[in-house]
Amino acid sequence: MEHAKADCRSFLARLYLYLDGEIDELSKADIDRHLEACSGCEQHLVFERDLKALVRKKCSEQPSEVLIERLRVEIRARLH
Amino acid sequence: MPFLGQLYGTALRLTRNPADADEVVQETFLRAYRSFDQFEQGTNLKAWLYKILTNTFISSYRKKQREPQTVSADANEDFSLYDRLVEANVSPEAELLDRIPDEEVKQALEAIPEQFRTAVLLADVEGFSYQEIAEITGVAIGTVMSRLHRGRKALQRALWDYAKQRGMVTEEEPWSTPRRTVDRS
Repeated sequence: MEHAKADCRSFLARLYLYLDGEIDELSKADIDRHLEACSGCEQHLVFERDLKALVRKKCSEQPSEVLIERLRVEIRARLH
Repeated sequence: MPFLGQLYGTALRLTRNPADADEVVQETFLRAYRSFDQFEQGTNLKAWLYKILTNTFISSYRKKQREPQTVSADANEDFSLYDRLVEANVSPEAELLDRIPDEEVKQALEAIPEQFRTAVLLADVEGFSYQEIAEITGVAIGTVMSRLHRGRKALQRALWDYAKQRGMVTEEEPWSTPRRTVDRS
């Protein structure tokens, strides 16, 4: 399989940290260097990034103004 | 009432039905108004409200005890949707998954056990940081990372199963190719 190399394994282990913006600058620079040289890992990163965006898009819920207004009224009524 | 719409959206994914989401959101704001003196001005109001929402949901859900555990998150820890697509000779692009209807993705997320679902919701849908999720759910950052990992893998498994059932991908026939053994070295 691809990802056989140590660099690829190291990237995979930190993929989500990278994606979530939770990685330190030094590790990020490391990974950026690796991604420039490894199209397989780059493709994998793009997939995971798009998947994360897709989950956000498909699972978000924007309730209607009517629903929000009803909730506001009911909450206010229960407060008093 | 700040973040009312967003809190409702999260409550709906947590409770999985509008009537319960309604109740959880109302209760969240009642608790928030009653304990507003405990909120430290200048700190993260959104995270504070989400913490109340999560606690309200957990206490009402524990009371009802009716959460069906439809997906085992442990069994999928090593699952990789990307690798599966590559192995099935499908171009590993999220465009393929975009063809899955929104309702199906929502259902897949809602089928993940509560702790893992909460982590995925807060990170991937609401965009909270690990530190914020740790504060909202009252666990250590390491626990957040582990729950998030398991939740994402469980979701990937569910999406893979859906794509397979609908013929969007075809898995290799087990008798035509030797099963790939996992190298654990």
